[in-house]
Amino acid sequence: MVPPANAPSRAPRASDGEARLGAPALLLLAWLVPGAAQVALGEVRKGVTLGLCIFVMFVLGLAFQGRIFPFQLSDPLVFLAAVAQWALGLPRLAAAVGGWGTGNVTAITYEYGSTFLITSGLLNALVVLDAYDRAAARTQ
Amino acid sequence: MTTHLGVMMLFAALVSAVFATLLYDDGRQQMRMGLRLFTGLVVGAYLVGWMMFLAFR
Repeated sequence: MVPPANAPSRAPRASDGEARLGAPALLLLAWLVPGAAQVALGEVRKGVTLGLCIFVMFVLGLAFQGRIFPFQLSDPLVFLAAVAQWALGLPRLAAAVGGWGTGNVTAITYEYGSTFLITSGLLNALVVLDAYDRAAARTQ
Repeated sequence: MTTHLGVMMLFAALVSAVFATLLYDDGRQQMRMGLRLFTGLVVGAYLVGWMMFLAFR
């Protein structure tokens, strides 16, 4: 069956990125460094664009004095925000180690900053799924 | 850039770029989808903002 002309293209290309790394390592790489799995799969431009956008979003979130949320089960929304932020591997880890993102509630950009931080994590979750999807398509 | 509109447009631009890059492999299609998403997000935010203003004033 011929796909429509405007359909999203998912055609596998010749690349040995998945074969070299293996699916679990590829997923770990995708989670840790946004866009790195796409680069490993040979889609350099796509990977760099995704990584750059997500990284810029994370840095802007910190610059806007947003908050890095803790795993706080007593407040479900805070817990979910923490889960979303942890979807961004290394930058979130660096923030935890460096003590960044304490959040300044009185700053006018506080809500925007927190939204940027949460969204960057959620977007990276989509990027991880995309990397898995592409790796699976290549193995078939 | 720290106006509500400026930050909202920055957010829309970054989200549009990620979605367009994920959805398409071709550069032209990515650009077209990115612009459509960006316009939709900004115009949508404006419309919802006005609707809330008129409904709750």
